[in-house]
Parts: sequence; C-alpha cells; structure tokens
Amino acid sequence: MNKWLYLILALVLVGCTTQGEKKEEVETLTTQPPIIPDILEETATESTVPVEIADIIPLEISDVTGIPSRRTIYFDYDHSNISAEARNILKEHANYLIEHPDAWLRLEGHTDERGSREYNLALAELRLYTSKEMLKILGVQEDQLMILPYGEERPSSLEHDEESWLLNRRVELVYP
Amino acid sequence: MRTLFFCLLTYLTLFNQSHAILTIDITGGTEGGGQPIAITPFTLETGLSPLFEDIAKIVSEDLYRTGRFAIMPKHTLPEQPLDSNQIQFSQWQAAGMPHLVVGRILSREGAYTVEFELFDVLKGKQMIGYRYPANTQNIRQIAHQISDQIYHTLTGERGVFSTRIVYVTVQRNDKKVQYHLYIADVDGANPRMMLESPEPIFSPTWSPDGQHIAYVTYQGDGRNKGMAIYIQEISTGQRKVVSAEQGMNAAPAWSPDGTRLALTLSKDGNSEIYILNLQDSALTRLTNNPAIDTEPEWSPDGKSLVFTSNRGGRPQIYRISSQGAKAQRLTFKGSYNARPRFSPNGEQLALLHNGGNGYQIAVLDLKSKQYKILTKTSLDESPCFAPNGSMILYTTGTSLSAVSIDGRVHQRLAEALGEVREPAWSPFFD
Repeated sequence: MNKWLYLILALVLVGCTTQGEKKEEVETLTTQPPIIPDILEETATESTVPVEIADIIPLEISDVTGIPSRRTIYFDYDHSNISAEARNILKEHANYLIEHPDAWLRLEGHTDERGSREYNLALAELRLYTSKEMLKILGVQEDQLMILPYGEERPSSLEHDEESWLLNRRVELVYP
Repeated sequence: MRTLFFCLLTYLTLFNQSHAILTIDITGGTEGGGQPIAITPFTLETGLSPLFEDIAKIVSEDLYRTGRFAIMPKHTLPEQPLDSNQIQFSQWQAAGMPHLVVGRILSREGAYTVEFELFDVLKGKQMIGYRYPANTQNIRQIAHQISDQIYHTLTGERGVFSTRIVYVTVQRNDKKVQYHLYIADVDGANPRMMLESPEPIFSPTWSPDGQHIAYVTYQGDGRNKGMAIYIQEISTGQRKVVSAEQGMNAAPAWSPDGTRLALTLSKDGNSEIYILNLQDSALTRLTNNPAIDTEPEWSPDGKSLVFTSNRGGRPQIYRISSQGAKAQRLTFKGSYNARPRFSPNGEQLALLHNGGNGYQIAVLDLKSKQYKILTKTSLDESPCFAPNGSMILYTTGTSLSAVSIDGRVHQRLAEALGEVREPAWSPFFD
C-alpha cells in the first residue's frame, strides 16, 4: 500500500515538475525570441584589404572595405566651387574608384534651407556637376558615377543657424 | 465582416485625420476692420435629428478669416428668428448690423434641405436666398457655397471657400522621415492623403481644370534611383510618370490650356527649362545657359513664362516667350528674387524676395515695378495666389500662412504632428 502511495505521489510530482518545466519553456519562448544572426555582406569580406604593418596609417582614413572614410564635402553659400579640402577628399575617392573599376559611387547633393526649394534643388545639382567633373578630371570613369540632387529636403542638421547651414551645404559620397 | 470593414474604414479615417488635420488661426490684422454682419443659428425643423456640422459656425468662420467681415458674436444676437417673416429689422438696425443671414434645415421626402437668406437690414429686403438639397455628407460643402454667395454679394468678388489646397507634410521619428501629400478643403477640413513615401515629395501643382496634380519625388533604387515627375488623377488616385530623365526632373508647371507642362531637366548638362507636350510627349528646350534656370511659371495668357535664373550672378526673375528667344530680366531690387507665381489677372508676381531682411514673400507689380513685402518672418517660401487673387498662401518655418493681398490679415495653418509645406491653391472647380 505504501509502495503504491509513493508511486502515485512520485507520478504526481513528476507530472507537476514536467508541467512546470513546460510552462516555463513556453514563457521563455514568448519573452525571448530566437536571435537571428545578421547576414554578413559579401562585399565587406571580399574587399577587405589584407592589413600589413605599413597599412596601419592608411587605415585611419579607410574602413575595412577600403572605401575612404571622409565621405562629405562642403560648400559656400549659393556656390558650387570645389574647395582645396573637398578636392583632397575627392582625390581619395578617385583613387579608390580607379583601383576598383567595378565599384560605383552615388553623389547626393544638398543645400541649406534658405531660399526657394526648387532653386536649391538646382543649386544642389550644380554642386553635383562640379563634384562629378572633378572626379572625372582625377581619372574616374563616367559610368562609375551617379548623381542625385536633394536640395534642402534632407538636412543633416535641423537647427536654423549658420553652423547648421554650413553642415547642410554638402555633397555626400555614397557607396550603395 | 461588414462590421470589421466599417471599423477599418473608421480607423483609417481617424488615422488620416490625426496625421494631417490643419488648424487655422488668425494671427493678426483684423481688429477694427471688416464690415459687420450677423449670422443667426440655422434652425432645425422639429423632428429632425441634429446634424454633426453647424452651418452658421462654418459660414461665420469662412467670412471672418477673409478679414473683410466682423461677425456679430452669437451671445449678442438680439433675436434668433425662426422664419424670415419673423425678423424684426428695427432690432438689427439698432444693433448696427447692415446685413443679416438667416437659415434653416428642413426635411423633404426623407431628404434634408438647407435654405438661407441674406437681408439688407436698412431696406428690410432679401438680397439673395437659395435652397440646397442636402445629406449628412455634404453639409460642409453647402456651408462653403453659402459663404461664397454671401461673399460675392457683399464684396463683388468671387469667394474661394469651395476651393482646395494641396500640401506636403513631413514627420520625423528619430531618423525615420515620412513624407505625405494631402489635398484638403481650404479651411483644412476633409484632408485626403494622395501619397505616402519615405522619399521627399515636392512642388505639387494643380492642373488648370483642378482634376489632376503634378509633383516631384524619387523612384527606383541602386543605380536606377532617380527623380521623377508624376501626374496623378485626384478622383481615382491613379498616377503615371511623365518625366524620369537622368539628373534633375523638377518644377512642373501646367500651361493655362492644360496641354503642356513646363519643367526643369539637367539631362543636357545643367538645369534648363523645357516644355513637355502632354499629348504627344514631345520635349522642347526653352533655355540654354550655363547658369541655373528653373521654377518656370506660365503667364495666364500662355504667351510667356517667367523663371528663376542666376545668370546675372544671383537668383533673379526672367521672362521668356513660350516660343523661345531671348529672356528679359524682370527683377533688379534685392539680392534674391525667386519662385515667381502670377496673380490670376497676370498683373502681379508673388515671389520670394531678400532685400536684406531675410527671405520674405513679396508682390511685384509688373506695370509700376513696385515691390510690396507682405511678411515679417525671414524663412518664408513657396507663395501662391488664391484663385480670386485676394490672398497669398505660403510656407513659413514648419507651417503654412496666408496673407491678404493688402498685407492686413494674417492666418496661420499648422499641423500638430509635423511640418507642413509647399501649399498650392486649386483653381475654381467650374
């Protein structure tokens, strides 16, 4: 009789614990969904330049993909001239594009918020035009360059002061 | 299922409204101005269930916002006549009211009927009276038509209360930006979403018959990402690309006869103005200059266009024949004149002007060459005329504003949840 009682008690206990475990399992599943790993992009691994000791310094201006890290050039108010600083940045990108003839670059043109929207779009377009011409002079093939004017539509700073306006008058060099 | 569908519809309607409703405030200039008028509450025939909309309130607000009327406050009305034969004109004369509006809502064979009458108080005579077949859906529309009739009778000018506006809203959540294109009644009611996009939408403009809008946005991705000009039919929402050239596709402007679209393209080097024939898609180049040429606008007679160019160093307005030939400079005052829009009679240009006090809205009289600066803010944009020429609607900062052509009355149209910009006022719909 005692044996039977123990057995039943044991079964009940097992039942309880398994039930409890199951319940816990369900809760765990609902609160913690499985972690889906990010898929590493092929280009990132493929174009990684093998690092030698002598390459450490260039790495400061390049990320692991080899694309120059300075990807924005700035302009004066209502102007589209390429400054010396901007030319240096464009030179880095020209070198990269010459070394990677399969790569292509999209130049996105922006202005500050002052003035009319459509005039600013045309001004952004003019900045793209001068940037593109400079890259071509520096040896980049025309078919490696796409342009997209945004005008005042996509400010990088939303404030309404000289500092923000300066940051917003720019061409961004985008490797999509 | 039907209930679910209804719930979904209600949800969508509420959702849309919570995202887009414009509120209008008079921000200055009406004090002491405007002719007095009394508008009594519209009486409801006994037994009729009350309507959602208050017609007298809508008419009062319409007339008040023009700045040309001083509406008698409701609590000071000497009487609320149930019928026109009950009006005691002496009471209204004593109250100093030259004009009085009375109206009523009746039921005829199961449908609503709205009647109104406008009285000359001194003569004790009806000036106009109309009856409208109504239902619960068209009460606002009828109220605006009543406002149009009163305004026309008392000012001699056509009212714009039944017209609409198109505008762009921008909502920023963290780094995500959503652009919407809306059409709403001119008082901000009945907003209807025409387009939603993560890409910028700009330069919306009405076709001369008010049935289509043209606008600019971006399409495609990767190497194919680019600008495109769309034409969208308002009634169906159907749209088509009319220009997607390499580089810039911008600044669409309909010819007054609706057969052509002036636009700015950079496919041949830099920004130039072209005319696209909408019937055979033929493209004609209008300008040829290494400087920026953009923002074309047709004169109301269709014979010429005005546009913005920096060919003289800074942005200024030029005029060119729609057949081509040499452009003539129109603006000489101020360092910046851009984005011209003709007044309906073709005698004035509304433009964006900088004469040293920031970017302001100005009106240039083409005969006298006089500028009139209408705003005091410094980051204004995108002016356009009301179809009767009485007001100019524009963007200031993150909201819209309207100013009467004499600069006296200012209104602000704001959207609670985001930025509103680039308004365009519809033509009259008949």
